Amino acid sequence: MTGAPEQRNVKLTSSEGTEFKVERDVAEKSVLLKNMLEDVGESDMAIPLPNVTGPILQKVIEYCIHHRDDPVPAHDDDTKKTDDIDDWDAEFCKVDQGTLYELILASNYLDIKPLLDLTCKTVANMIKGKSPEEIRKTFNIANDFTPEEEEQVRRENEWCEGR
Amino acid sequence: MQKIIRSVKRWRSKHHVDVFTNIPHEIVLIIIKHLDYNAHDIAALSRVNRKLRYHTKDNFLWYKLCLLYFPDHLSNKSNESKFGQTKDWMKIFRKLYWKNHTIVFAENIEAKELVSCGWFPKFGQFSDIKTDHAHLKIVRAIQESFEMDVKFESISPGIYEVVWEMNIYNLQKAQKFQFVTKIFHKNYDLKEYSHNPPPEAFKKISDKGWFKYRAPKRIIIDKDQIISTKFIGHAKMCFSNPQEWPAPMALYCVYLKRYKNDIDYNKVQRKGFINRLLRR
Repeated sequence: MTGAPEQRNVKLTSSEGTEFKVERDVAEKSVLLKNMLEDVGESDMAIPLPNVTGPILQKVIEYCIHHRDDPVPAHDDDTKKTDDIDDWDAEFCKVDQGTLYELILASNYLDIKPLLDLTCKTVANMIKGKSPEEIRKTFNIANDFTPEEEEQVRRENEWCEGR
Repeated sequence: MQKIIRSVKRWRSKHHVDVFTNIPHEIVLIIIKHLDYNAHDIAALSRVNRKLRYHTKDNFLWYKLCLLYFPDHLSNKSNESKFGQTKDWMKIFRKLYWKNHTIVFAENIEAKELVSCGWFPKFGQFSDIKTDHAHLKIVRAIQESFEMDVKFESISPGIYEVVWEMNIYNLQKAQKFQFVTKIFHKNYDLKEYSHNPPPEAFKKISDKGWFKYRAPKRIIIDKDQIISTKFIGHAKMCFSNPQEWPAPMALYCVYLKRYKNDIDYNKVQRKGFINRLLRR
């Protein structure tokens, strides 16, 4: 949206050293990169992202390109609808849980709030209305409570009886 | 032997890695935000495993929940309304929760069969309404495919939860059940929530006594709105052997659980207000 005539490309390197070239406005969807670019100024050096693997970075870039023209979210709160995910985003999140988890971490690290919200919302939707046992099944989580702990947790949650 | 099995189980679970194993706390909090701070979902999370219990024990989270669910109560009692590390806000939440919800029982439960297929229940068996010791309205249904329709009219505005209390006897096979909740304003449909729990889930709890089924959504009701909620049971009948007929002999009662008073509700409606509260 900057309307700048010449878009400088930004180079990013994933943890394995794969290089990605993106346009600056796409890279600036990430607040981390935006601040970095502002601080460093124009540079041909690739920015290393040791916390993000290539395939995940690819996904993140795909997201940023699709949403490049979105308005910058006005602060963090406000009247954003929490339960609507548009079709493209829903499709984007149809990945295995490992990838989804990596995407959450990457968007948190790169500080891309809309992507973090989207991925967390996706996880939340997988939790909504489920019983503890159903949650374990959904995420393949092992129950590691001892019987005593289990009893204690049950008592702690008596207020919401029998669910 | 038991001990060994247990320790092996514990060892396994210790070395098991899932999505939540290494998730940072702040991300769990974002996920909880997207659960709309539904206390029931949070409670369910806390019962999953140690890690999630730890994440959901966050004192500030329960403080937020107290503000969200019981804003009035807290603003009246200024000494309780401020966040301080010394208080166990989870405890306070529990206390307030018990104190602050009211229950609205269904006045009339209308039951009807959907398909009769040549098999009719004896008169009176299908929908005799009785009152049991716990003064609950009960419908007993002996039918393979049926629906229960309950309307709650003239209810005051507030946040509600629909709860079905039931006791399913002797369910031979997994069956499909469906819960539908609709909200009307005069004659307009406003919203509809539908939920189909997995059939096996009901099979598992059949013949195990009373249980409560809570519709997964909290609903917000405005003035002059009507809640209509339906329970639909579908079952396939096996004609050849009456012994194999499914017998979803279930006792029902339905009620609404309402979170306290109208003022709360007005505040909940104003989302900005809540957001402001939460950011404090």
